Amino acid sequence: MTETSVIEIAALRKRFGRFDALDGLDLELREGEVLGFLGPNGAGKSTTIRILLGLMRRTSGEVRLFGQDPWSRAVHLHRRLAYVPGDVALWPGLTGGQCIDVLGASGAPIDPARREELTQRFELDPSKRVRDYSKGNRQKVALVAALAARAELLVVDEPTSGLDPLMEEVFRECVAERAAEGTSVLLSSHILSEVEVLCQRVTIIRHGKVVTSGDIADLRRMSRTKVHAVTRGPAPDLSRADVSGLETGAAGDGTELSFSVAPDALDDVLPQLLAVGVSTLTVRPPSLDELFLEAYEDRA
Amino acid sequence: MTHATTERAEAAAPGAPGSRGGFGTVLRVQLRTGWAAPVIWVVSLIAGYAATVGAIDGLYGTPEQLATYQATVGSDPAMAAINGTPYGADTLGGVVSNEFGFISAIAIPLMGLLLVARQTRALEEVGLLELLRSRSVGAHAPWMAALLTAVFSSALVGVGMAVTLIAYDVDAADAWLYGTSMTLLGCVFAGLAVFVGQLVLRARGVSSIGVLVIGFAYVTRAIGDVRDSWWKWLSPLAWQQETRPFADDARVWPLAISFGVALAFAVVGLVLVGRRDLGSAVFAARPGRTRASSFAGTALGLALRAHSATVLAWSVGAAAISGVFGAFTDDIADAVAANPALEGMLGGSGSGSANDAYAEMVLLILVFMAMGCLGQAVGRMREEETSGRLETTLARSESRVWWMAAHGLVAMAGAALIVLVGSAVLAWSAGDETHGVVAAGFAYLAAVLVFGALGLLLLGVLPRFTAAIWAVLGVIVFLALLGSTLSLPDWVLALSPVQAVGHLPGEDVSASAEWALVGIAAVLAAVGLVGFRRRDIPS
Repeated sequence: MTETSVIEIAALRKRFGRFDALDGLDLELREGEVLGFLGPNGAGKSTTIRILLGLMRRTSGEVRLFGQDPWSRAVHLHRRLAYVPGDVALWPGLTGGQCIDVLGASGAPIDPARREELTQRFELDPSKRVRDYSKGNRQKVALVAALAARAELLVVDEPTSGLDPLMEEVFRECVAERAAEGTSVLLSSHILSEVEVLCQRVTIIRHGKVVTSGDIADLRRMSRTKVHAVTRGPAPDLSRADVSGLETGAAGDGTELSFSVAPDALDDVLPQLLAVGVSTLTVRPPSLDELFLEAYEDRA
Repeated sequence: MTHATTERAEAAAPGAPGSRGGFGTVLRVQLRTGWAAPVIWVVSLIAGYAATVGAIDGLYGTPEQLATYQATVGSDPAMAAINGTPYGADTLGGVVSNEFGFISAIAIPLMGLLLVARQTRALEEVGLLELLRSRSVGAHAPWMAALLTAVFSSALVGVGMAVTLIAYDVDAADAWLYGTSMTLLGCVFAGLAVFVGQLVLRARGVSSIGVLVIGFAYVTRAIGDVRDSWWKWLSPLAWQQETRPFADDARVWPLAISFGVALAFAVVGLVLVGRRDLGSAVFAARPGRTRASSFAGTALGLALRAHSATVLAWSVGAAAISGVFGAFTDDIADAVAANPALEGMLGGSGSGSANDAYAEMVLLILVFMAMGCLGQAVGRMREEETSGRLETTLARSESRVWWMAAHGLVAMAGAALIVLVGSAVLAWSAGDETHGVVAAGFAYLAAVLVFGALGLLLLGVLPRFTAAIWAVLGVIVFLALLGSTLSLPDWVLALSPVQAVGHLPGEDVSASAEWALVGIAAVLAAVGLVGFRRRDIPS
């Protein structure tokens, strides 16, 4: 294995009739990495995953899974990966345990010991029939099958949409363990906090295009600090500094100010505030959630 | 067992070329989850056929008796229209293939069609194939496995038929030709399901198109048989029938058409499935309206929306069949004029004329169609429940009883429409030759009501056995067409509501029977409604 990229996607397009589901998407997952794949509903996350799994065909662009074509080599490549769909549909007449057997009978082999352990940790009753399972329990069946598989790549779509907070925690632990063993993970979600603790990198898409992509630490550095202050005297002129969303209002003798500013520009802004004197000063560190919302809003 | 599987999978894992694409896995899971359907089809078809052979052997045991059959039925256009041209009607095999002709013409194509559709498009529609295909399961595997099951089931039916005939001393070559022709008939429609399965998004679309093709096949075969025209060669049923297994001029070549068409459908379908996206179809869904009218939101409005397309489709089908079959009435009059013995033979079941008996047969087909529509409607209601939509509906301020009553009313009214439209077209098309056809159709509605009410009962009391309504329809059709031939005891025949109505329009309508049926329907529906109000949803 000289390949270092498990997934390479460049300029990927997918048209459904007149609708562009994916419009020149780029994405890379390196070996052993956990990548957060984020975007609002309908951004094209599931479509990308289906193309990656060879379930859908790309309209144009380049897609490589383990360095090969995911469409023509689907059956072969699927021995090396495990997948958990966002909406898990299983055979109503089979039990959860039977479903795991069926899924294990082809594709990446399921490790029996790990299967046993995961069944316990997820508190899954494998003797129940699928029609009697709730959405969360159906998801657990797919999670146990995928996490117990000896796979090099784990693809998870909207992993915790049906899980309670306790099970979400179990899910995070399990994924972290697999990642520690060297499994590459593609984690798709529309909730940042869900992937934040697991991922080194995130790719955020919207309308089928990448909006932001990079290390979480870098993104944190790039995002803006929120400042709220009440000055003792008239407000300083901040227009020369890199300030956005400035709101001012009278507060007694002074002025109430709130704005956001790039972390680099703080050196510039704070002395100006201190020069006129402040009675209240709150500086909120960059929040990824805001970064995320910014990316979701119409910037594309 | 898990260990063994794991080891095998590992041994095959390092880049095994020419993978089977998960075919074995898919076949196993299809059989594990869906073994009942092929078993029921195969067992009931073979049992029905064997019972018919036994009964015919008893009725027409001597060459003289067989000659009588040949002399009457052999020249009767009414029977040619309904059951097909009775080739070799002076032999046991010929008589049986004619008597069983209607059932085999509908049931065997349906078996091939549905066995494929329910394990392929139906699963893809609910998203079941997505997880499976994310394993090492190729795009073709589910379709090939379902096709194999359908072909194998058709083959078993063919073998069962042939072996039954051989057991009754029918020439083995003739018996095998007959069995093979029936097997290939099933295969044509299994192949059709693979092909149509790529064209439309919904399993319901596949079965609707399939049933339409069965209707087309039936009508073109009938036109071809009565008017002796090339029309019949458009029909897969003729490719089966025209092998004439029990006649002196038996021939094998029509099987080549069946085989070729089945193969072509399957190959084109499999090529298409290898090229398309999962969850897509050649004819994709179009965007709909974003708002609903105020009526569409009411229980009745939703029920109308749920069933109107089905009712419309069946009504058009009923009108088409009535129109074509009504036109054959002239041919029957001519045949009776030429061969007066026919009158007694055909009118034998009731007290009426040959034309009345023929009108009864066509009315029965209309009744079966209406019941088919009701079966679909009940299935649709069950689907509302299993898909979770019913919970949303009932979470609004809407009573369960009214929900079921609204659907039941719309479905029953739709079924009535099918029979009445069909009867009216039949009366118009048959012209002066028959009388009281519409009144007779109206009288048969009592039986249709009982069937629909039974569907509501199943849905309300035994929801997991809602599909048993199709078995009930199978029994009703079997009793109506073969009950008297098989000389079944009266109490068995009385189980069918259609039998209770009597032979119309040849006989007088029995008011007491009509009221009794309506009363039974009311009781069944009421029990269904009460059960539905009391039980868990979903269950």
